[in-house]
Amino acid sequence: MKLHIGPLRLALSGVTEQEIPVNSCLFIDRENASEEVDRHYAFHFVDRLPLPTADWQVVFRRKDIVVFQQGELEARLLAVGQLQASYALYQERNEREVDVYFLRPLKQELTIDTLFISCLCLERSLSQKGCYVLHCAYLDYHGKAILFSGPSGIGKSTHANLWCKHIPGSAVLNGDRALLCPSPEGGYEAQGWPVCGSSGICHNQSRPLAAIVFMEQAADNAIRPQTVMKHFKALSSQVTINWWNPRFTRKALDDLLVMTEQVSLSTYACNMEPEAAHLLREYLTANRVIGG
Amino acid sequence: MKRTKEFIKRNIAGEIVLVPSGETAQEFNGMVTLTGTGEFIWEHIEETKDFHHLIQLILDEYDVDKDTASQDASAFIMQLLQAGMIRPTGPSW
Repeated sequence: MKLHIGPLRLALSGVTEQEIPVNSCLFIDRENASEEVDRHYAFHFVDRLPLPTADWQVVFRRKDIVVFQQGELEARLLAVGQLQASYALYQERNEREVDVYFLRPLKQELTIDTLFISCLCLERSLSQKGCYVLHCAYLDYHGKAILFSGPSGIGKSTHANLWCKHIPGSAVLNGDRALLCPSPEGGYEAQGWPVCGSSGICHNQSRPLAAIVFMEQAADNAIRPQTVMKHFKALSSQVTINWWNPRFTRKALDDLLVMTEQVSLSTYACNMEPEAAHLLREYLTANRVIGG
Repeated sequence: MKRTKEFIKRNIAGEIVLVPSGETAQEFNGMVTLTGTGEFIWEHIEETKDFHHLIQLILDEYDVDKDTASQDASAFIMQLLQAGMIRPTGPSW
């Protein structure tokens, strides 16, 4: 089976289409089966997870992940909530080949979006191509992407839904994530991502990126002027970065700084009334970020 | 004084920010924004013998009087110590 996620072509063995999430199936590469792949993943369903040998060094530990390194290679022990509930070991053989050991008793859980995508550990490969996953509601507005970003619960989906209800030409393409990649024609592109949180809205579709809007809650609607630094921090906090890897972090910071300078970024404090969507549309139109 | 944490420094439109990385990312959330003098202190603190040496370096670099430099540096060093970003290497520094 081959997946085509953003710029990456991935070959998977040891696992079938029926065993992975429905949303990930949207990214199955059915056309270019013979083309070269960026990475190959061999899935092994096991009754007990192996642990990396002593020549792998622990470099990062959090309740849901332990990261090991051996030179430039990485292994990750993945868990849900507590480490007692580890479900998979991701271990790189070399830059292109990976073994994924997944607990057989939990095999059915592989159909959960986040569990499956976590097993692929795509951030580093995506970063090499200048691509990053943004926590946002991904809205298609007349063929262009407007991304509403911010922490969970801030109202990203609520605001995107206001556009869909009250502004013709709007549709949500992903309720929780978008992949941002440099476009060959210049600028950036928003692409589909096979994880969509609780929204359930997931499409494998790309749009030229028009704007990223950082959301805040307020009684009255207002665009809040921000410094480049504030927007850089906001963007960095909503992008998935492997902070434990200094080399990766350096590249990510450099790429995000370029993105901060080149993409239309706004901070919008708003309520949940239809007027909130209209006012933002007027602002983006007046600034020629989107067409009128 | 020794810097104890692994931070990546970046210049964002003229503002300097320190971003935790590596093992530091486990315990330190967010980014630290530095003023011009703050960046200077962060860059040079490991090469200074004591507080007076640091103040002398600042006076050599910036057009500022000694009292102001001492007050600002003292406040910033306290912040770095409280955040665990530097640690003393001897009884006087």
